[in-house]
Amino acid sequence: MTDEADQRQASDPARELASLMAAAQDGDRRAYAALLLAVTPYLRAQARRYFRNPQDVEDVVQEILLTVHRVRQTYDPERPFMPWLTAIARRRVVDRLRGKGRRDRREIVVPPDHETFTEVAANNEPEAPDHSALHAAVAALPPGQRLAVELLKFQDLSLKEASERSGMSVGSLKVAAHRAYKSLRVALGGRDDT
Amino acid sequence: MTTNTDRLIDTLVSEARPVRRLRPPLVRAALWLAVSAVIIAAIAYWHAVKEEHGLRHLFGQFADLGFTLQWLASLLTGITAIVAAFELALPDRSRAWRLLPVPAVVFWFLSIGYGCLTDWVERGPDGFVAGHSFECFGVIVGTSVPLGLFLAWMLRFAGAAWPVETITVGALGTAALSAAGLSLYHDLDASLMILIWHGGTTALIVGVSRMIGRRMMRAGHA
Repeated sequence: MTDEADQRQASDPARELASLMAAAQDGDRRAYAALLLAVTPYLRAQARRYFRNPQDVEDVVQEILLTVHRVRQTYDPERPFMPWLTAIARRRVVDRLRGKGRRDRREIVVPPDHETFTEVAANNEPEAPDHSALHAAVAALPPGQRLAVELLKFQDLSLKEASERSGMSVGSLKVAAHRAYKSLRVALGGRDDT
Repeated sequence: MTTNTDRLIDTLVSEARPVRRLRPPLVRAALWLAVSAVIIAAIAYWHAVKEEHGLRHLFGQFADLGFTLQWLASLLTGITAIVAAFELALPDRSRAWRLLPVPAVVFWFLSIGYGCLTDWVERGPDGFVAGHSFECFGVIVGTSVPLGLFLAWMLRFAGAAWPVETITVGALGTAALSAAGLSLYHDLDASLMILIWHGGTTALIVGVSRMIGRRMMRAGHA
């Protein structure tokens, strides 16, 4: 399905991409962002034809974007955009395939599954964390502390954002969070069976 | 991973200052050729004065058809190779540009080969002296290196699409022009020597440049 979406993206009017790139050369950041976001799915689809590993696909897409950025003054807005982009993409894919070929001749990749640790317990598959206990413990906290944990940890907000959202000062958020961690440690520590 | 790519896009966008578009490749090639012509002419003039042949000797040589043909062929090789390099340095230009200097190279080597043949006819085996002229070698390399660095600076974006092809024709162009400049003040009697020292040095410069270029690519993207 994503491939179809990529195809649609690729068949977008080429002229629009060319004018976005021309605007980006003149320093229009919004046009540049629109252009890069528009071509990334296409580049990813192209990269998937050569690399199976998703990490390789993303790496090569990033290399292509970096090269596009570095040589963006070489684009001539009088000419179509896609051949320019495709030539850069092909070079990065070929370089990466060659680099991979060289590495594969010299190195053997050991998958993490084959690693063995001297500590016996470390070789066991980790058990799925017990979220229910954590959520119960958080629910049992006083309201101020609960809010602090939810904003700072579950929603991953910064102290400043959490302070704006909750109306609490940064200082009192810090104190509430600190107290919350302390009581959570006590609440969950009792259930720790390792 | 996707978020990494998104973050990269954010960074690139935030760094996107206006850039000046490159001028058309033919204009840039003409600019490079003009600067290089001045440098080569200055070196040729300085040598001609130093070796006390003077410029009269230089222009006298053009009366010899063989010399004129060889000189024109090396000049043509240089110009076509430099034009090809400026085209290949841009990502969206055809790779076929690398073939542009081929006819001139063939013409150049044929003209030197013809010189070898006439040497043989005129002087017999004695005309076939494969002496050494390290001076030729030194001058061609010595002229090619600064010209090549200037070219590399102008074509610094070439890594994006056809780096090895660009380096190959670029090195051929600088070496051929250096050889053309050298011919103006330093004449080798035997065509075989021209073949060895001009042709050989050119081939060596192209080979070494390709090797360095490949290593740089490998180091950059391994």
